[in-house]
Amino acid sequence: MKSGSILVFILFVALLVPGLSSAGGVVIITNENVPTSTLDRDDIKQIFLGKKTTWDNGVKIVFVVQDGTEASDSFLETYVLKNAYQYDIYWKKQVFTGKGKTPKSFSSDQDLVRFVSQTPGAIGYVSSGTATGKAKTIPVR
Amino acid sequence: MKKATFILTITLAFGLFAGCCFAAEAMGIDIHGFISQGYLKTTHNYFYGDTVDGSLEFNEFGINLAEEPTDHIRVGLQILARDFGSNGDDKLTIDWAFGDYRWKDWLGVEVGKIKTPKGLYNETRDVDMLRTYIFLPQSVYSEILRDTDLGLFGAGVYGDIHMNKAGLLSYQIIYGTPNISPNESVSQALQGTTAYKTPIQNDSINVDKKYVVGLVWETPLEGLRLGATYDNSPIFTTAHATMSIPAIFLYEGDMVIGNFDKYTNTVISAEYTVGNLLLASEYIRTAKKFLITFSGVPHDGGYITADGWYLGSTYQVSDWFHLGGYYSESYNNTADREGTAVSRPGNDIPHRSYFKDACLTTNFIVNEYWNIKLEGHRFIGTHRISALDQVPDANGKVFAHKDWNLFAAKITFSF
Repeated sequence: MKSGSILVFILFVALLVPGLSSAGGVVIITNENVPTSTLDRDDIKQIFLGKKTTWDNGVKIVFVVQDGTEASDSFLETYVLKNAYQYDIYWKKQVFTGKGKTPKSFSSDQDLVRFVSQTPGAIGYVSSGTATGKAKTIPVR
Repeated sequence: MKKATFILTITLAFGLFAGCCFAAEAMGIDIHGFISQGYLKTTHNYFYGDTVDGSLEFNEFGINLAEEPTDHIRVGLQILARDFGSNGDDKLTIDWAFGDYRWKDWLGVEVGKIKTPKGLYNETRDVDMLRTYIFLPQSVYSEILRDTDLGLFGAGVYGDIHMNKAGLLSYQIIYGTPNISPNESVSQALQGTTAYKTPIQNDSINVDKKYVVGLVWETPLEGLRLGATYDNSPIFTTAHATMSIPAIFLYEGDMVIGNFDKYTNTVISAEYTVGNLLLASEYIRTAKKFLITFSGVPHDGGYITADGWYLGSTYQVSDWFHLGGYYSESYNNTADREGTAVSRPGNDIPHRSYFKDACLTTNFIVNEYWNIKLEGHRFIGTHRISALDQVPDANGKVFAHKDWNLFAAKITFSF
């Protein structure tokens, strides 16, 4: 009974704080040399909107996205607070005013993991449970 | 008409091509573009071009290239051609072209032809697929004042200031000079503010120095952003009289000099997005002080303030269907909103002093590259509409109708 109560309590806390490790079925990954061990939700939003452009060590942030996947829809709505159409239009606005470049996109978790693992300063997201290889999984505060 | 057919053909050709190629990248250089063709039909009055009979002189074509040679440097160029009634005539122009050095998130420097902020949407006004509406509200994004608003050849600084729990503040300050045609846009406005074309022909129009300051605050309330922009565009024109009016000592051929030593625009903006719904409202106030000199005698035009506002909303009903609408009002002179002071024989008619616009629009997203829009407007008044575009009716009158409607359709391909 006691262990049952503890399990229920842990589940309750996990539900209240879904961002501790992942949210919406996705996890955030970075290149292993990225000098951060955690990120907060606002950091993630600003990175994927191109408003935060460098890591603390001065290395340029290379953020990559997925194209048309469930993980992508989940990530955008959870962290960037835009749906896929709104995010697409946001980046087209940057492109057609010369303010930014459309982020590189991938159609599978594995391709994205490979790119992030090999690219200094890279950050992306994959479905929970994806093998992340050399890439670093970043807990979200 | 031939040109419109040509643009339409190009649009369709691009569309067929889209099946195999989009957002090209060559040697690390991104290439994007768009092409639009529209149709306009008014019940009365001429809304840029022969819209009473239906006009296809309504298209845009743009292509851009951009490259980031180093982590902090960005260079790019966008070429734009546009036809909108008597404006543009599909001449190729540089829409933006600049070098940009972004030192930190909070400080970047840009030099070249730079798009200028005015309200929240001025920088993307020529790129149809980026919004639900065909026409942005004319109270803030007036077509007839487009030349002075678009962009500046000059330099600027910009940045994003992260304020933790207070949100994000983006700023932009630009100083430079715009290119303005003596035959189009704002020049038409200066020659045709009355019901009939004024008795002068502009020879040159210059804004030597203009500065623009823009702020956008992404507030802590998720989805709410607030903005403010301010610009000062002193306008200097030279013109010649096309007829004689002895009563005011103006004779055909006389040089007429116009000097707007103050021409400022202040816009405040609010936009709120929640789920698929977007609400937006903006208010603009324009202050003008001008002097007109002819026959060697200066005539003080006085100090006039104009203003306008709108409230609009768009909603993504589904992935392929978006709905939108707005109500917009603008006034030529805040001291005479009904136009009664300027209404006298041979001069203005009251509805040249205001413009009220109720718009309902639909946007059909065919796929990633194509969209089609249908839009209706109910207009009351004719402020902001060029007198030079008007054709007298059977009774020899222009702007004979205060109440009129516009139907607009537009198809766009982008990559």
